[in-house]
Amino acid sequence: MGVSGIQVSGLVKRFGETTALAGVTFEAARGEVLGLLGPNGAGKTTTVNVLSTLLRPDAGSATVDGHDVVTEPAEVRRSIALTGQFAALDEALTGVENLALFGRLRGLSGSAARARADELLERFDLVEAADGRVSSYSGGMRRRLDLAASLVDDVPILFLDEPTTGLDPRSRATLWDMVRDLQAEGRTIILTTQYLEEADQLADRIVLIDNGKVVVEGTPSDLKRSAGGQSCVVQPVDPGRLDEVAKLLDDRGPLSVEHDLGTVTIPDTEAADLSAILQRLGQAGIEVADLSLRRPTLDDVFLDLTGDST
Amino acid sequence: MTASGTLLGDGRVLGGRAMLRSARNPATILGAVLFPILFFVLFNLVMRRIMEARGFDYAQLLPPTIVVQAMFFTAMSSAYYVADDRRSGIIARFRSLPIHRSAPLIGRSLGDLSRATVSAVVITALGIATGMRFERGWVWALAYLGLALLFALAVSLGMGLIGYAAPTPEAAASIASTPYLPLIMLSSGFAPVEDFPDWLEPIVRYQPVSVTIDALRATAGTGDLGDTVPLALAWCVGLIIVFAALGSRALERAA
Ligand SMILES: Nc1ncnc2c1ncn2[C@@H]1O[C@H](COP(=O)(O)OP(=O)(O)O)[C@@H](O)[C@H]1O
Ligand SMILES: [Mg+2]
Repeated sequence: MGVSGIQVSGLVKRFGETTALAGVTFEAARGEVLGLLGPNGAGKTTTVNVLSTLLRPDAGSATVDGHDVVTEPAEVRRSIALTGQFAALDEALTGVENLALFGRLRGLSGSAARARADELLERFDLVEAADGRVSSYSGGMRRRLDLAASLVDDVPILFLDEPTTGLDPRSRATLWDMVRDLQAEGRTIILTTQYLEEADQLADRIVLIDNGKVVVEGTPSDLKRSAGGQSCVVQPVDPGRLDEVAKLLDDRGPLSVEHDLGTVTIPDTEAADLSAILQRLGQAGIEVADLSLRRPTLDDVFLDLTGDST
Repeated sequence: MTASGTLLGDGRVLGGRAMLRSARNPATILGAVLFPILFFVLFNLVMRRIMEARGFDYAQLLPPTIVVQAMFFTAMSSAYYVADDRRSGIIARFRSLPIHRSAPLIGRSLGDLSRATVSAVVITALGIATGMRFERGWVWALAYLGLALLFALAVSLGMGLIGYAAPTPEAAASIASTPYLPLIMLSSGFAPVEDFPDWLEPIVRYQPVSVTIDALRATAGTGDLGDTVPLALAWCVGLIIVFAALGSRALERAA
């Protein structure tokens, strides 16, 4: 089998003093949705720009659909479509004119480009807006048209750079559905995002990057597992008795006491342990306001590994 | 199947886009047609009698100057459009497509030339209405238009470079609006070269705006063709080559 999908090896990219990519390595198999997750400034856009031949790396290499991004950029461009971080459309043109323009540039004839544009407008729920200028579009409509513009030709590989940043929840959900459809059609998709939930929802695998380096990679469930098992959060009615609670339970592992929340968190707890915990607290006369099991979220992984406080 | 599209095919598609965009932007029509008409009318009112009293044939002298000025006005939009394409990110998207590398440059130039053509034709018609004559016949009248467009292309490509360097489209537009004033004031356009101080005279005489205005006047019948046209062609073609090369490089780097 030939090389396909995407292979990235040791990519380095500097902008003057800033090292945007400090040796990024990952792979995306054909047909896979790879979530490139990271906080602002992590190097997501730079990675996508190198893979879509807009930037030359300072070191390292990458192949996209079997073609080297540095030595065979023209072949790479045939296989990819890029939906950038900001909708890249001509504001003065209408929706249908924008799509027809990109169709022509991808080598379709005038009538074929027009027909394809109509099809895409239908699919992306933009038929009514088709003849309005893009400058009058809402953020969600722009994003949909932007995505449609990447589909005028049937390319196997899509780059979606923060496709839902700045969208309201409803437009975001619509866009998620569209990405799922594209995945079902068998395309390889690199999707960058700052939102863990988004990566969790859409990606087969996640590559977490921070400061230009891959911090961890794996499936969403792998990553959650790496953040440890579920924990139990106890909140006594009287916050003054927090230390007493901690003392009573300290044989259960390293507890964390959050005075400002008025809670004690017990690691690695199963549902079966809960009654024993309640019983012990009851015997000591401590009234419990809230007792809950908490599953680790991708946020825990993210915050753990990026040291980001947001 | 080739990996990239053709320069002319892709350039034409992008040229169509540039023309549509110009046609829908009232400001560029203002710059391309209304301002030059205003200048033409005002200079006729203020200067015509003064210059005719000095023995100049103002009906022949003024239109080439206004045409060159109009070429500057039409080219200024190019700086804005380039910077706007950078801001919207569409220039990066074009670069990610399997099109010829220089097609965006060709497309933009076609748009610029279409505005320039409209403008040059309107000003020339106005000139004819106020007494200008193409004394060497229609072939040289076409040469007049061709040279005006060649000059327009040189200036547009130069303005495009401002669009690549400026931080915002607004900054690009205001930077682009400055070079024309000294270039056209310190030229043979509004005053005879002999009227300038001695030390300035050679610069005024041989800078590209003067040379182009002199050559346009010569194609319409005033002045010697051999003294002016080759020099103007050399300036315009030279500037086009340099600016196009720099523009292609800037395009390669625009992300
Ligand atoms: N053209 C550029 N010039 C200078 N620095 C840049 C440029 N592009 C990106 N950077 C820097 O590189 C780092 C990574 O940026 P980027 O890839 O855009 O991050 P992300 O998309 O993850 O937010 C940031 O520190 C950013 O400031
Ligand atoms: Mg980014």
